[in-house]
Amino acid sequence: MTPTIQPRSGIEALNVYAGLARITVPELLRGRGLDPDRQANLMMTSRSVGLPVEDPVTNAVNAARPVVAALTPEQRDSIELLVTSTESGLDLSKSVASYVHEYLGLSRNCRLLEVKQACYAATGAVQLAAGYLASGASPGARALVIATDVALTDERAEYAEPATGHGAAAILVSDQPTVLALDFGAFGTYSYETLDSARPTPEFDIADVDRSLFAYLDCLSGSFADYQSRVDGADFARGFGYLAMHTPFAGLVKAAHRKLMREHGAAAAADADFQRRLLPSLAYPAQVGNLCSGSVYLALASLLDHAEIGAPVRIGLYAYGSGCSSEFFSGIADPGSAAAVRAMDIGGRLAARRDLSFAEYLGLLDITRHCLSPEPDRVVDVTRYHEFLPGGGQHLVYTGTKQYHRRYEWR
Amino acid sequence: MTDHIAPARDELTSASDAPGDRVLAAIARSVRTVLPEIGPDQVRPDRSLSDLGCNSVDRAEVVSLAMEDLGIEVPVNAFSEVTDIGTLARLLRAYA
Repeated sequence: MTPTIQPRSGIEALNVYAGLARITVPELLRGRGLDPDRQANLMMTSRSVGLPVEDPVTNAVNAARPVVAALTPEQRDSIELLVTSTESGLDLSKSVASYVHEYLGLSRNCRLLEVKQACYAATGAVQLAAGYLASGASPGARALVIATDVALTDERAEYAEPATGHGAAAILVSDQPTVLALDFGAFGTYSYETLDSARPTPEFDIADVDRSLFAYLDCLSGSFADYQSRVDGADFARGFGYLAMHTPFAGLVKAAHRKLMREHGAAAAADADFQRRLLPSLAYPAQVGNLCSGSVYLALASLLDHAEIGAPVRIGLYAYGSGCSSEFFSGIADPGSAAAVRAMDIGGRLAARRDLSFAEYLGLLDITRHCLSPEPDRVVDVTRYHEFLPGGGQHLVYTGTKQYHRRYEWR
Repeated sequence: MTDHIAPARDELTSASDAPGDRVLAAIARSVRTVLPEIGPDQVRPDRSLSDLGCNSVDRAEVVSLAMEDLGIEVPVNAFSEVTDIGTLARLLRAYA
């Protein structure tokens, strides 16, 4: 495999914020009267649950704040591009990025954008940012891409309800790719129109499960074929030390991996290979649920936190977004990558989420499923949720809306 | 539902029940690869994959395997008319 490694750009820092509350999958299945045996298919143990003091802005800021805080003032000011990737937009014109820019204290000399392509969008933004930085147009610049979403699923979603997550992934892109040095020019894309899932109003999601799973599998084959056409000698079964994929639920990732192994003449090795190359990427998704376009980065963080990375290793990544658009791409991680992600203590924060009973979950859902509905004025009683907050004044909360202007405070 | 596209049920049943139907045979092989406990005579045109116990991932795998077996590619959007194994066979036959 001979991707061109120069010029060098990629992921300098990565953090994931996955909320302050969770419900276990057995508790949710029991509460909904769904078949408990389906947990094996989902391969999930719990999912993150949003609070009324959270929204796409707070999730984005709470994911990115530790990344930005670790930079010097000069490095922070070198963030010349901020992109929020979301299917949880708050306004048809004003971006989530405009609020995030303010609360992260980024430079006024910064491009702001919001992008949308379902669960693919963040990867499109990362690739465009990496290419822009590699162009040399602004030497030393950084780009911050934040995938941020909230869940609107309720009982209508059936088995997708326990698989839907809440949170954000912050991806700092630069010419110092400590976490993942992208293989420049090594990518494959595959896109076509279909209506497999969508959010037609701010109040609910629709999903054609069969069409969506089929499109996910189809696009993995299609995007990898395009990757192969660009990268001499690319080999799905042997060319990547690890894999990290968009993870709506781990059972689908397992099926996708099996399909590609079959197509590339390695069916017999599929089960052992799944355990070795993919399982480390599924530990966090199994505790969080689908993080939309942040999902593949949650999988990457999980991989770097759970695999034994003793030497530089090539990682293959697959992003899929309904509608649909997809990309297979790759990069190199090394022991420094694992150390950088471990310093974010993602696992510790996942473990610190408060467990909800089904009744508590329903009480929150009554409020949070209207989180994206436009209202000129709203007041949120933050004191009702103090027990969930970590304290220390470094956590952003949503306090309400005044004449469509959203208000936030550090708590 | 796209009832105006779906053919009449008797037309499907007669077309799919033809002896030596390689498309139906490919579907049956795919079902048994995913769910080995299913008997070959259980894969009939009038049944759905869900009737046979296939969950959502199983169904996607069965369809993928059958297409690989037959060496065909069917666009995702074409599956909107599929309601059971008979209509699935008819669709795959159109591309075989």
